[in-house]
Amino acid sequence: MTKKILIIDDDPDLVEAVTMILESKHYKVAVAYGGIEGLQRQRQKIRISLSSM
Amino acid sequence: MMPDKDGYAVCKELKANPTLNRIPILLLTAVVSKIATTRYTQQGGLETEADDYIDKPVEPEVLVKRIEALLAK
Repeated sequence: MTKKILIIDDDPDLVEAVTMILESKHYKVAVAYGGIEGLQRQRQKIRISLSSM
Repeated sequence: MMPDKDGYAVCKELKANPTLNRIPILLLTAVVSKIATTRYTQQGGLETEADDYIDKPVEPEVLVKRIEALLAK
């Protein structure tokens, strides 16, 4: 089963770059552009979460 | 740093939530990385929220290896 990774970051360039890296490795990617949105998205089936400080 | 809630706060809430706290969290740290890492390592034990950290800029190979390591746990 493809694993889904949630990226939480408000920097669209970083999100795009990390998305490309992960998709090239056949991971599914979900994106949240803020911490609160990220917390809401965690209720989806997320396997791992990448969060910016 | 995100305006509404920083990565530290997101980690803390996720790890406090019994239905979400098994999802590994990898923090991407920027200029405050040294401070942040120190802060986390000093907290140690139960208070350490993130499962791993990477300094920005993110090296693609490092990112993928760290993710694979977390998924293998």
